[in-house]
This record gives sequence, C-alpha cells and structure tokens, in this order.
Amino acid sequence: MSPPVESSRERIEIPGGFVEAVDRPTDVEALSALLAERHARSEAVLVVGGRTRLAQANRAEKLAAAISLEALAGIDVFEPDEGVVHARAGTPIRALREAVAAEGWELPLDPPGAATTVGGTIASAAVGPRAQVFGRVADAVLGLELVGADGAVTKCGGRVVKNVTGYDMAKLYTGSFGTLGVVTGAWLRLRPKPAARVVLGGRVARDAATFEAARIAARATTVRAFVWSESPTGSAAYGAGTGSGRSASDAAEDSAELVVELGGGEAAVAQDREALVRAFSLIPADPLAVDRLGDGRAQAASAAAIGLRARVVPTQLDALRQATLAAGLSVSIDLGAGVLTARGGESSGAEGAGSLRIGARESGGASPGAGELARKLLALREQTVASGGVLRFDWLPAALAERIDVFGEEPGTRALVVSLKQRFDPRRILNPGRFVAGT
Amino acid sequence: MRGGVIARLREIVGDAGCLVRPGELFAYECDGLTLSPKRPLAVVLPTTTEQVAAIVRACREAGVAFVPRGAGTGLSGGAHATENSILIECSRMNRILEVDAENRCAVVQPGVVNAELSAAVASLGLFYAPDPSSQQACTIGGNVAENSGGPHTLKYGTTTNHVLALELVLPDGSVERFGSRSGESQGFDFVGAIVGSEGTLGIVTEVTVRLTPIPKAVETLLVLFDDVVGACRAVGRVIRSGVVPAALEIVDRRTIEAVEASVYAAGLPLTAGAVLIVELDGLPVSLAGEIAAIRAACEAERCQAIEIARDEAERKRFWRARKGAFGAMGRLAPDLYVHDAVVPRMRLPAVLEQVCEICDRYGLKLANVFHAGDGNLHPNICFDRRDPDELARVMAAGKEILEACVAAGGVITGEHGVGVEKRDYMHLVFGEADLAAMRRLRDTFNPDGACNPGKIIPTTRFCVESDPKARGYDAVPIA
Amino acid sequence: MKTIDASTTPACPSNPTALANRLQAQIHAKTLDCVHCGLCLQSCPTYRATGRETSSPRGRIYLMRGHAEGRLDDPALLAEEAFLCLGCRACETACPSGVRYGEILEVTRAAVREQQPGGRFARALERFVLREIVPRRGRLAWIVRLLAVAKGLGLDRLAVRVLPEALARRAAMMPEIPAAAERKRMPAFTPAVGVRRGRVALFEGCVMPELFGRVNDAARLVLSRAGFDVVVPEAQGCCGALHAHAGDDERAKVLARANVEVFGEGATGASGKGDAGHGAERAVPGGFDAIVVTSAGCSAALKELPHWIGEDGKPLAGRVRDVLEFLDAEGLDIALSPMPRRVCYDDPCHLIHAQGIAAAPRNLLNAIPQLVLVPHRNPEACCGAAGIYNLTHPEMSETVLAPKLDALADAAPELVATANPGCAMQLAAGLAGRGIAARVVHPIELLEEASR
Repeated sequence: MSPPVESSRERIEIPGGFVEAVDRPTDVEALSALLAERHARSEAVLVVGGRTRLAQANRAEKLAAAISLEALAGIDVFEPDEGVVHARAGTPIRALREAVAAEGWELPLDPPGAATTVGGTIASAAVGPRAQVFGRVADAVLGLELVGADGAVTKCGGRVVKNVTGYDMAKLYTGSFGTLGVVTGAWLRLRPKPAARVVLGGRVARDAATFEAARIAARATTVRAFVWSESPTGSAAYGAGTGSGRSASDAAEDSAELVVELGGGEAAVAQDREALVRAFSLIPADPLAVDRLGDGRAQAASAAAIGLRARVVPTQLDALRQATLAAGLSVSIDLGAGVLTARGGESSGAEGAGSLRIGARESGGASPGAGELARKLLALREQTVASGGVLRFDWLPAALAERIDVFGEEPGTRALVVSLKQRFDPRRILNPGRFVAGT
Repeated sequence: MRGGVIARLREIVGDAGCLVRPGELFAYECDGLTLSPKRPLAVVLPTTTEQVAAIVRACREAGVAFVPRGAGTGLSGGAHATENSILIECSRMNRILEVDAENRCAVVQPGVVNAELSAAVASLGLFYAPDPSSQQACTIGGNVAENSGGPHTLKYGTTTNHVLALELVLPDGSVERFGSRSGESQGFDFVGAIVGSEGTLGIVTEVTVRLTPIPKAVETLLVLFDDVVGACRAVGRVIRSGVVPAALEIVDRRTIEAVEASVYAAGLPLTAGAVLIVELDGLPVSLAGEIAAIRAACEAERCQAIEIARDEAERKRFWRARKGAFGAMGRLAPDLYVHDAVVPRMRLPAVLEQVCEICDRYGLKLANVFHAGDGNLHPNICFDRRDPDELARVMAAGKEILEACVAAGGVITGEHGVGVEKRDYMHLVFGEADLAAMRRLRDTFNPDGACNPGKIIPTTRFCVESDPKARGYDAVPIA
Repeated sequence: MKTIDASTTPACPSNPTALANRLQAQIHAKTLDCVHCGLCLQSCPTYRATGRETSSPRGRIYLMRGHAEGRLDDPALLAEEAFLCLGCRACETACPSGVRYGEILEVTRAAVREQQPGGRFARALERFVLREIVPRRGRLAWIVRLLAVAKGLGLDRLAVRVLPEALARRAAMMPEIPAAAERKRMPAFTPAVGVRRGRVALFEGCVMPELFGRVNDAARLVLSRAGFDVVVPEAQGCCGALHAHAGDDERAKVLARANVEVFGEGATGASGKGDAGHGAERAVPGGFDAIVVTSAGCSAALKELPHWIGEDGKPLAGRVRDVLEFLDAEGLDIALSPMPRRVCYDDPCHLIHAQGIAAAPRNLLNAIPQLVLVPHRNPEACCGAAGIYNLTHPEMSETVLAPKLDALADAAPELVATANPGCAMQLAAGLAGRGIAARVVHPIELLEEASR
C-alpha cells in the first residue's frame, strides 16, 4: 500500500520565488490532513497540477512547499448514456479526452499544454482555440469537490446538468487560481463528438478587410476554431504548421495564417467548408493543427518572453490586433471567441518576433527600458478594458513582473476580493499573492 | 422608526413610488409561491440605480431589511418579504438601455421582461435565449436572481450562460460593476456567483446579456408513447445519438388528460401514455438528418406515432400541450404545488415511478411535465390549502420526492431556486462544510444578512455561525 | 398590525361584512382558478403603466379573494383598482388557467358600488376629472359628445353622478350632436341581393347609430350584397355592456331581458313589416340565422348574456356574431374592387380578448385587392378607450394610448381600421392630437366601399 502522502525534494520555480519540497497526497483525506497541518502552522503552499501555467500568475508570497495533485488522478465515473464524467483533479486532460471520445463524447475543454490536468484547467480557467463552441471552463463544470484552507472537505454543484441548489460556488472557484480551496475532483459535462470534422488552413493577406471577412466567416454554424495568426513583420508566427507542404519561403511572405476546424453534421460541414475554401482559398490541413496551435501558446520559449491573453468584443478585435502588433508582439486570434493571445521578446534577433526585448534596439529609437515597455503593455490593457474586454499576462520577464500585476483589477471590487480571501483562507496559505488584488 | 424610514423612502421615490396601504401590502405578500406569505412594511418602486442605492442606505440607517422583487413569478418564494422588511419592486426599471447588434449583446434594466427583450431584438435576427415558462411576464432581473432555465436550456444553457456583466447595488448601498462585455472578468467570476444568488448578494440594477442569432430553421416533433418509461428511454437514445435538440420535453398521461379536458386541448389522443416533444433547430441542411436520428431513437422504443409540425400553427399546437399544462392543472383544484428537482437523465424512469408511488400513497393528485433532456422533473400536485390535512400530506410527499431525487444522484431544484420553499431541505444535498462555504460568499457581500434575509441558506440549526450578526435579520423582529 | 400607516389609509366607509359576503358568494370560487403565476401581468395596460401588483389582474384578483375570505379589509383600494381596470380582458387571453376575469370584475364593481353609493369614490373621481379633463379643451368636444350619448342612454345615472358639475354644464352648452344624416333610421328590412343565403338581424347598439350610423349602414349593405336578408328590429335597445362594466348590474339585466324579447327564440323582428313572403323559409329559431353586431363591445356583451340572466340568455347569445366574424365564416362571396390603401388593423379588446377574434377582420381586409395591411406593434394592446373609462380615468387612458400612437406613427398607414366605436373615437382623437393624418374606419366600411 502506498503511503497517503509521497514527499520529495524537488525545485519548482515560479515568478518571484521557488519551493524545494513537493508533497503528493494520494487521497482526499491525506490532502485534508496535510492542509490542516499547514493551516495550523500558517505555512503557505503552492498548489500544482501539470505545472503548465505556473508562470501565468503573480509573484508568490513566501512558500513552505508545493502540494502536487498529480497522484490524485483517475476517472471515477463515466456513464456514456448520461454524458457526464467525474475525474479527479490530477487527471491529465488529454487522457480524459481520449477516454470519453472512445464512447462518442467530447470533453469541451482544450486548454493548451500536453500535461495540463483537470484541476489545473479549472484553477486557471484555461481555454483553447475552440472556446467559441466549448465556452468557458465553468460552463463544463457541473460540480466540484474541494479541500478548504483549513482542511475541510467540501463540495458544490452536483452531477446533473441543470442545478440551482444554492449559490453557484463552482463559478467562484473556477479560475480562482487555487486561492480559495484546492479542487480535488470535478463532475464535467460532455458534448457529443461531431459526426464530421474538417481542418483547413492557408495564408491570407493581413489587411483589415481580410481580417473583417474572416471574423464574419468565423460565425458560421459548424466552425469550432478559427485562428488568425500573424507577426508584426508578416512572417510565420506561432508555427501552427498547416501541413500544407508549403515551403519556408512561402511562409515568410507578408501574410497571416488561418487555421480552421469545422465540426458537425456531414452536410452542414460540407456546406461551410465549401464557402470557406471559396472565400479564403483554404486547403486541407493537419487534423491536429488546432491542438498544436493551442499547445504553442502554453510555454514561453525563454525567460525573456512576453505573453498575454485578451478577450474583447468582436468589433474591438481588429483595433486590439493592430495595437498589439504595433507593440511588437505576434498574435494568434480565435476569431469566433474574440480571444487574442500574443507573445514576443523570446527569440534572439532572428527573423520573427524578436524586436520586443528589454534593451533591444528599436528601429530609429533609443533603447527602451523596462519602464517604458511596461507602460506600453499596460496601455494595451487599458485599451482592452476600456472597450469592454479583459487582458492578462501569461508570462513576463522578471524585470516586468515586478512592475505589472498579471491580472489587473476590476475597479471597485478590491474590498470584496480581500474580504472573500479573508473568509476562505484567513491565514493566507493557498497560493498567497498569486491571484488578483494580492489574494 | 418605521414612520421615519417610510418618510425617507417617500423622499427618494415620491409618494406614488411608495406603497403602504393595507391592500397594497396584502397584494405583495407572496410571489408565484403562495405558501407562507409575509406582508412587507412598505413596497418601493424605484426607477434608477441611484434610487435603489438610496433606498438601501435608508433601510440600513433604519435597521430594516430589504428584499428585491421583479415580476413576482418565482416559485420558491425568493421575493417573499420577511417580517418588517421593505420590498424593492424593480418593475419600473424596465428600459432597454442599449442593443449592440454587432457584438450580440444588450444592456437592460432589471425590470425588462424576458419575452419583450427577445421581441425588441427580433428584427436584428437575434433573441435572448433563456426562456422560462413565465417568459411573457418574468423580468431579466428575476431571471438573474434565480438563474432561470426553460425548455430550451438543453441546447442554449441557463441564464448564467447569457449574462456578461452586471451592475449591483451592494447591501451596504455602494454600487459596483462586475464582468465585462466580453463575458470574462479580470479576477474572480463574481458575475457567475451573483447569477442564481436569489437577491441575497445585492440588488442587480443593470444587466449586460448575450443575444443569440435566431436559428435559420426549426422543426418540432410530437411523439406518442405507451408510457412515460418508453418516452424516457427514447430521450436516452436521443442523447446518445449525438443530436442535441433545442428541447426535449415529456408530458405524462395524467397531464394529457388535464390538458385535453381544458381550453388548451391540443388534440392529443388519450390513448397515449406519454408525449415527447422534440424541437430541433439550426441549419436547414442539418435538420433532415437529425429528424431521422430522432425517428430512429423513438421507433426503437416502439413509439405509437410521430408527428412533425407542418407549420407555425401546428408547432404552437404541439407546445400548447406542454405550456398549457400548468394552467390546465391549476383548474383541477384551488392550489397547485409545482415541484422542481433534477436527477441524472438515465434515472428518470425509476424516479418517476417512485414519485407516482409517493403521491398515490398520500392520496394526492399528481401530474408530470418535465424537461426530460435535462433530467429536470416538475411533479405538479393539485390540492386545496384550506384542507389542513391535505396540505400536510402535500408537504410530506414533497419532502419524500426530494429525498428520492437526491438518492438517485440528483438535486432539489433545477430552475425554481431554493428561496424559502426549499431552504430547510438544503441539508439533503449539502453538508455543513458545504453550507459554510456558501455562507462565506454571502457574508462577503451581505455580512449582516439585511439583503433578502432568510433565503437559500438554512438558519443555523446544525452549526455555529462565525459571525453572530449574520443571523440577525433572519430571526430577530425589528422594533 | 395591519394599520401600519393609518394616516394614509381611509377608514372603511361601510359594511365590510356585506362586501365580503357578496364576494364570497358570487366570485370566490372563480378567484381560486388563479394560481398566482403572474403570466397576465404584462398583458395588463394598467400594470404596464404603474408597475404595481395591485394594478395588475393577479393583484386585483388577490384583493378580491382577500376580501372574500375576510383576510383583508381595504374596500377603498379594492374599489379604486376595480375601476382603474380598463376591462380590456387581455389578461384572459394571457391566462393559462382560464380565469374568467371579466365576470368577476363586473361582480366586484357592482359589489363595491353597492357598498359605497355615490360617496367617497365618486367624489374622488370627480376631483380627478375636474383636474384632468376640464382643462383640456381639445379632448372635451368628443368627450362631451360621448357624454351626451351616455346621458341619452340613462348612463348618466352612473357616469354623470361621478362627473363634475362643471363638465355637465359644458355638456349642456354643447350644440346638438351633429351628423344627423347618419342618425336616420335604417330600413327595417333589406332583401338579399342575388342568391339568398340566409336571414340575419342587425343589432344597432346605442353609440353606433348616434355617432357611427354609417358603419351600421355599411354592414346592412354588405350583408345584403353577400346574400342575406337584413332585418333591423325596431324595438331593440342598448346591450347593457357599459352599465355592467360600470357596476350597474341591475340596469344591465333589464336591458338584457329586453333584448331577449326582441331577438330571442320566436322573435322574428318582422312584426308585420318587411317581406312576409320569406316567412316560409324561416327554419331557424327566432327566425334569424344570426344576430349580427358591428360593435365589438356589444357583440361581446350579448354573447355573455347568460352570465347576467342565466339560461334565458342562451338562445340569443348563441346566435350573436360580430359582423366580421360572420362574414369571414360565411364567406364574402362578392366581387371587390381594388382599393390601393395602406391600412393598419387595430384589434378591439372586446373582439380579440373577449371573443378570440383576430383572424377574421384581417382575412376580410386582405380580400380587398391592392389593399395593403401594414403591421404595427402590439395591435392587440388596449387603446385606453374602454367604454367610459376615458371619461373617468383620462390620465391613465392617455398613458395607455401613447404606445399605440407611437406604433401607428411608425407604421404610417393611410387608414386605421378598428371594429368598436369607443376605440374608433379614442384612436381618432389620439391621432388628431398627434397630428397624424390617418383616418379611422370600421373594416366593414372598406368592404362596403369595395363592394359597390
């Protein structure tokens, strides 16, 4: 019999700090006891799953150790006739997708990252390129089990697809970066796997008219993902690879890359495919192109990398795209959902998105310092928020991480946020400082 | 003190916006739930966010609790006043402030009527998707409070999936905005937590809702079965087939009899033991294949007949069997108890049998209409509340029904809310630690419980509340 | 604990037990049909205008029920709300439980009148009217015309008592009602043109011959062109609807019985006049295939006679048809000449809600070549006329009318067609007030013009 908690020495680095010990509880009781103990000693912990998005949060306060949920994994209940599944927090999303797909279902979660887990996806509310049909992570969550900061085992929601029994606590926990409690398991809603699925790709002119046409086309009924990728120079960005066999010189032309996934009934998919092929000269692409694109957003290439994610209303998408490109970042835009991811500063001067680095020489300008770069990035966030959107940073070089709150704040909610954290985790032991407004 | 607060309220909303006559208070003693009525101290009808905030502050100064109310169509008593509370009626806050067709959203005041929002944007090819059965009367504010569903939530989701941002008057009288037009929040998803909080976290004064394109084609099928078990099995097959209908509704034999005996007769044969209504929508090119899949699923369960609506009139006739059920049942007896519980879809046949057995055992008249695709049961019990013995049997049967649903893996409400009706049944689903977490959320917004007291969370019978003041408004009468 | 704010609550003026007893005996069971679902709320013009539960059908029924059960003692509010109601019965269309609101409203009005004879309530109304009507010269002329008609009917027993002295004086100063040509009596018998398809009686009504004689005449001509003998019995009287709506159920019953005499089973209407040669073809009871009515308010009331006078009313009620309902059901069967006009059809409450007739008028208008039926928002919403409501509650009446005028202004028709005299006057006055040029007509007038 395995011990209830496996402990090991292991170094995990996160913005602003690191831990050197990792505890792996193997059941909920062990996690509960572990947290109760930390709570009694007011020792803060870093909660980790697949470690995909550890960089995508604020700088942590002092941490005693990490608690990894990876040993708390597995599918407990999957009733194919019911269309719901219960999985433990450490279950890799990928494994879960495969398990339900075998019975004709689809897990409506496609967060970036090969190792990402159910718990990590819920904690970070991470969505992938199919957000326009999958919706938000919270939309897939029917119920959660958690362990509170004091070790109390709680649940919320249920296993049924419609439920208003009490507050919708799962909404509050989803996307809270583990600062209110540690998710140990989840009931998730599934959707039928589409009867037909087609992936298309191609390169198009990167002008406003084409962008607008693509944005409208992304509203077609069977579109599951419609990704527009573009670098400031018009060269290949994000490297999705449409699998179209085009040469590198084609890819270097001044253009944007489209990757489109369609799904649904055969006839409807065929109808939409024909229209898209006609409008954008798309050609068949690698069936995994969309997932590869998503995964490409998961990791920073280097410590110097800058990454951000914004969601805006459709009519603001082009303005944000242009502002982001002007700031020197490459963009990858999910047109249907209005989600823009951007990155830059990571490569070292090679052709591509290399112009945005601290201290890098901009054409005809002086060397911008960290301060100026921070102002530039914060201006992007201001623009986004002012036009009804949200923007957070996925990763920042250390010099910027000191100056920029990754999440930003909704005006006026700070007092509520502080009060909420105080009530759920008064000793600040769960991922302290990592989330919004210092929680 | 009361005179003082009423005088202050009159200053805020004018004499015509402050109702205190005995008959006025009497008419506001309940909402769609007529059991356990309570008359408020006064009813105020604000028209602006500023007025709502001023009302809340006036109530706080006077130490008086306050309860928000929309159209009062709720079925769990969420808008019931408590003793000595002020009812804040949002019916005059009924303006559509903005329609943003290109971004498919609208900004509305809470008193805008659900169906009227859809009507107002229909010419733009859009509609507001959540469609509770009371949609012709209920308000968006009330829908937000209850996280209302409806027949078409199977495909389109409930209110929570369609609310992008909110303006809220907090119980301390401050005004805050949550969420964004993009549908996401910078930090915690307070919008998601506020939707369905039954007016206990504050008073919603502005709602940004998502609008949905009107589907290009709709097909409605009426399928007759020998019994309700067959219909439920067919629902299982439909769900398994990969088709996601817009609605999957079942009407049982007892309801068919009531409907056909009423003015809503839809021409259903009384030989049918159950009727399944299937609505499909989407691209015209997809629907033929989906109809074939539905047909196969129903024929595999040996349905008696399948009818496909040929035109809008026939489609309405099919729905009359479903939508007229509530009213038709209402004529069978003076009172109607509309239950609401959810079970895993595959457990429907077994649970329905239990529900019938329970009602038979208590000698009660029962009929079932339900959102089968969601597993959302609505057992309707006809009774006369003037008969105390019958009322007691109704309540006892109701509790057993809920227990049966929870035992099957379900919950005690799918769309009507907890309110006062099911507050004391919350223990059937949740333990003390679960309820304590809910209290933490409530106390973050509403620390002393002045805003809609006594709803959702059971009073502290089994646990010690960390903040003793939190119970104050539930139990202590105000002098 | 009920008298929370006694200073603003009028004391009960008379016998609460008698009121409770009457409501308990006559309507309590019917109020129990209401399951308090609230689906009626938005259909109610006064709820829409006020947002008050007490001014909604559900709230009013709850007040009635509360009094009937002795749980509430606020007859002043009950009376106010019972009379603030327009009686449009849109709530009956909306109600899933089939509550017969119109019936219980009439009983309630009669019951509160009985309890408050001419007292506080009338004075309150008088103040209201003095403030709201008299200063508005533009509206006065047609109000007074209607008032003069009402006086002629003996409605003054009700209305004038609650109307201010000043208004009554102005009424006296008004010239005689004009358009005497329209008021000439119609022929007692008009034979069918062409192949004879049947024999009908035409019910004239009270307001109609005075102000809309041309509508009755148009009905007579169209019916005869469509192949029906038309008899206009001379002894017929008012239907009693205005009296019943105003709470004078006794007078309404008297009028109802008189009409049963004239139109009921066995009555021929011929009384020695007309063409006796058709006598052999009188196969139907009462000698008429139908009693055809041009005023929706009257046709609704006549169909509901059994509610007032029981079994005696059934033979008559069963054969009453609104003229548009009748012609649509029988088939027009006449050639219609083109009429290139843009027309909005606005549903009278007493046609659509009280009788469920919405398609017939539209079918008939659509049958006229080149006539374009222009849709407008909420044609089924009340216009605020509601009998003498625009006299007793002018402010609410105008509030209710406003969205209707907005909708018509947006639709911009040449003609507005409606099938009830009160609605026609209300719409005409409202359109004129807004400077909208559209003329108000009865659909039968257009059919008459097209069938010449």
